[in-house]
Amino acid sequence: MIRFDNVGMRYGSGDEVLRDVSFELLRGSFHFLTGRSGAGKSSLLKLMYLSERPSRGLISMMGVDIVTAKRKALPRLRRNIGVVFQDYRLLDHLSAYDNVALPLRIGGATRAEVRDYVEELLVWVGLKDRMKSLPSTLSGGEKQRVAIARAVINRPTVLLADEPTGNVDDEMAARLLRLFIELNRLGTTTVIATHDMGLVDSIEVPRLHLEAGKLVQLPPGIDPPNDLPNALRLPEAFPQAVGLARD
Amino acid sequence: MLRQIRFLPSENIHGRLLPWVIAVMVFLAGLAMLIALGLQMTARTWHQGLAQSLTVQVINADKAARDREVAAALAELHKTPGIAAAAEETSDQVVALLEPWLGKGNVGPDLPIPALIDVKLADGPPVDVTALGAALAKVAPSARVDAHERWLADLLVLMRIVQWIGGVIVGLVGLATVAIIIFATRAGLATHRETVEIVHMMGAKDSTIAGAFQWRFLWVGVKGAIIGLAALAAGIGVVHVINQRLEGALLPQLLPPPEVLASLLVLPVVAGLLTMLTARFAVMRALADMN
Repeated sequence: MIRFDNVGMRYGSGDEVLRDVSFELLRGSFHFLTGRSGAGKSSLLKLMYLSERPSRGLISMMGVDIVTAKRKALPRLRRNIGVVFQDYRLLDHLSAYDNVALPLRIGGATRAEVRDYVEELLVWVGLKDRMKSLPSTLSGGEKQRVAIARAVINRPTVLLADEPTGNVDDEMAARLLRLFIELNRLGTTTVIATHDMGLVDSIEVPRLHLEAGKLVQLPPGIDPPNDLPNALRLPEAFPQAVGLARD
Repeated sequence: MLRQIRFLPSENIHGRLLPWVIAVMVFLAGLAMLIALGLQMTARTWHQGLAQSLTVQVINADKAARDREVAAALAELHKTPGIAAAAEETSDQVVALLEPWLGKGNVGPDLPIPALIDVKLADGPPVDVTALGAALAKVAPSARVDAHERWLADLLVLMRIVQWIGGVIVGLVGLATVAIIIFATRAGLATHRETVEIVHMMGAKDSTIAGAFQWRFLWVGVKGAIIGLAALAAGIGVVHVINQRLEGALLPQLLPPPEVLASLLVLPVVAGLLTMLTARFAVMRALADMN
C-alpha cells in the first residue's frame, strides 16, 4: 500500500530532514508515527499525502511510483488519502458542513449523497448543532472534529492524521480513535502521528518511530487492533459512502 | 470545464479595481474600433461615390459667357463616350455646398461662383480625363476637370493608416488587459493560496480549481465591459449632439453607421471570454508549480 525505499528529503538546499527512510505499510494496517518535535514526522506525512516529493529514493503509494508519476495521476491518488492536519486547515469562509462536504463534492458526489453523509457524520462527531457554524466560531476541539470528519467522509484508502486528538477530551479522543479503528477495519490503512503516549499505549499497533530524520523502529506488518471496547458505532450509512472518490 | 465546486470566498477574489480597469480598456478598445470601422465604411462610401463621377468647373466670372461655356461643355460631355450623364448643379445646390464654409446667408448674388457640372461615368473602360480636359478647353476655355481620384487616393491611404493604428491600439489594449488579468489572478491565487492548497491536496484536479476562478473572472470581465460600453455609449451620445449642432456638414459624419455601433455589442462577450480564459490559463500555470 505504502512503500518507502531509501527516501531522503530536504527543503530547498537545507539539510536532509529525512534520511534513508525505508518501510512498507500493508493494506489495512494501522500504525502510530512517533518521534520528538523536529524528528521529521510532519515531513514524512507530507510525503505520504503527496504534498512534497522526495529528494531521493523511491515512494510507492497504492501501487503508483510517486517519483515518476505524472502530475495528472496524482489527484486520483489524493482523493483516496484522508488527512487530518495538526492545525486543522479548515477553510475559514466555509461552514462546518461545507468543509466536511468538500471531499465528497470534489469526488463527484450528488447533492443528496453529500447531504445524507455529511449530516450523519457531523451528528456522529457531536456537531449536530454546529453544522452551519464557521470555523472561527468553533472551539479547538470542535475544529478538530470537523477536520477529522472531513478526512474520513469519503472513507479513504489511506488515512493520515497529525495529532488528531490533541484538543479533545478523553471521551471524545476515545470516540475518535474508535472511528479510526472502524475505518481501519473497513480496510483503510491508517497512520496516526502523535505525541500522546496515552493514545499510543491504548491499543497495540506497530509504531514508526523517527529520530532526527531516521526511522529507528520498523513496523512488523499487518497488526490490526481487534480487542477494543465496542464503544460507539459508526453511522449506518457511512460505509455506503465508500467509493465516492474512487475514480 | 463546466463543473464548478464552490470553495472560494464569496467576496471578490480579484481586487475591487479590476472591473474598472477592464471598463477603461473596453472603452479604449471600443473607441479605437469605432474609429477604425467608421473610417473603413466612410472610405468605402467615398470610393464608391466618387470613383464613378467627376466634376467640371466653369470659372468664367462673366455670367453670360459662363452660361455659354456651360452649354458648350454639356454638349461636349454628352457626346463623349463613357459618360452616362452630365448636368449643371443649380445655384441653390452650389450655395448649399459653400454655406458650411462661408456661413449661412453669406453667399450672396454678388459673390462670383463657378458653375459646376456633375458628371456620372458609365460602367466600362475609364474615361481619359486628360483628353476630356483638352476637348472641353476647346469649347469652354475656363472649364476645369476635377476627377477626384488624386485627392481621393491620398485620403484613402491616410484612412488606411488610421485604420491600422486603430487595429494596433485594439491589439495593445487586449495585451494590456491580458497582463492585468494575469496579475490579478496571481494576486487572487496568492491571497487564497491556503484554500487552493487544501483543495489541491483533497484531490481536486487543476481544471476544477481553475474552473472556480474562471467563472468569477468571466463575470468580472462582462461587468467591466458593460460599464466601459455604457461610458462609450454616453460618449457617442455627446458626439451625436455636437454633430447635430454642427448641422452635420462642416465635418464629415462623426457617428458611424448603426451596423458599426451594433458591432460594439461583441465587446462584453470578447472581454468576458478573454478574462475567463486568461484567468484559467494563469491558474493552470500557477498550479503546475505545485506538486
